[in-house]
Amino acid sequence: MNKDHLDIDNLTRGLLKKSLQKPASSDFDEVLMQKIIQAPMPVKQKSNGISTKKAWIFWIFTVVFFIVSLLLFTWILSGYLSEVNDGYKLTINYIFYGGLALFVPLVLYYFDALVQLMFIKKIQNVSIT
Amino acid sequence: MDSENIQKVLNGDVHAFRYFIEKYRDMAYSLAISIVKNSSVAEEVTQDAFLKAYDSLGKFEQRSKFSTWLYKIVTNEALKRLRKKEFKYNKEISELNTVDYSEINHSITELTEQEQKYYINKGLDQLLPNDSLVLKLFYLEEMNLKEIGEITGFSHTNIKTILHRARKRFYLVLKEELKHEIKSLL
Repeated sequence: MNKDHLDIDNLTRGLLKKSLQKPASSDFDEVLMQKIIQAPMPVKQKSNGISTKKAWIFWIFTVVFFIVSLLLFTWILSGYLSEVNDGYKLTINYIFYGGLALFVPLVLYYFDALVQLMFIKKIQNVSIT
Repeated sequence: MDSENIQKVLNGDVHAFRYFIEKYRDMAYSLAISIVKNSSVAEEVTQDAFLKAYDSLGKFEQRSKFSTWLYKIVTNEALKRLRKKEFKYNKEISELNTVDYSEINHSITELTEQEQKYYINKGLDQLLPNDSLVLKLFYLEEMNLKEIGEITGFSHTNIKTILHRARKRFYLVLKEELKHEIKSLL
C-alpha cells in the first residue's frame, strides 16, 4: 500500500469516526428495555451436531479398525495362499487387490462424509436466521 | 464482558441486556440509517434488531463476535424494510471527476465539529445503502474484510470494489456539499 493510499485511508477513517449517530428519541433505551422485559425469555439451545471431541475419537477408531482389519485379512490370506498352487494364488491375489481397489475409494468417500458431518455441521450452526 | 452478560441474560437476568443496548446502540443505529436513510425507520429497525437478538440469544454459539452477529441482524432487518424500493441518487455526480483529498481535508477542518458531523452524514446519506454500510463497517467500526463479508454476504473482491467506489463517491459528494457551504457564506 503506497503512502498516498494510506493518507486517504487515514483521512477517511478520521472523517467516518465523526459519523456515528445516536437515535433521536430520548427514551429509546427505556422503550426497548420495556419490550425486552415483556418478551419471552431466550431459551438456551443445545447443539444438534456431534461434539468435535466425540467426532475425533470416532474418526481415530475408524482408521485403527480399518488398518487392523487390513492386516488381519492379509495375514489370513498369506497363510492360506502358502498351501495352494501358484495359479490359484495368482487368482486370489487378483481378487484381493481388485477388492482393495474398490474398497479404497469407498473408504475415502466414507471419510469425506464423516469430515463433512464434523465440520459442515459446525458452519451451519453459525447461521443466525 | 460480552459473554459474561450473555450468560447472565440466559440465566434469567433480563436487565443484563441493557449492557448490549448501551454498548452497541449507536453503531447499530448508524448502520440502520445508512441503509434505510430515514431516522424514524432506522430507530424501528434498531429496536427490532435488538429484540430479535434477545430472542435468539440462546442460539448464538459465540463462534463470532457478538457485534458481528448483531450487525448482521441489523443489516437483515434494514434490508427487509428497504424491500424492493430502488434507491436512486438525488444528484448526478460524474465519477470521472478527480478528487483533491487535501483540499477537502482543508475545507472540512475549517468547520466546527457539529458542522463536520452534519456534512459527513449528509455525504453518507447520498451514497447507495450498500456503499455507506460497507464504508461504516470498514472505517467506523474498523472491521476486516472477513467480518464485513459475514455481515453483508459479499465476497472480499466485491467489498474491495465497493470500498473503492464508495470512498470516491463520498468525497465527490462532500466536495459538492462543501462548495455550496462556501458559496452560502459568501
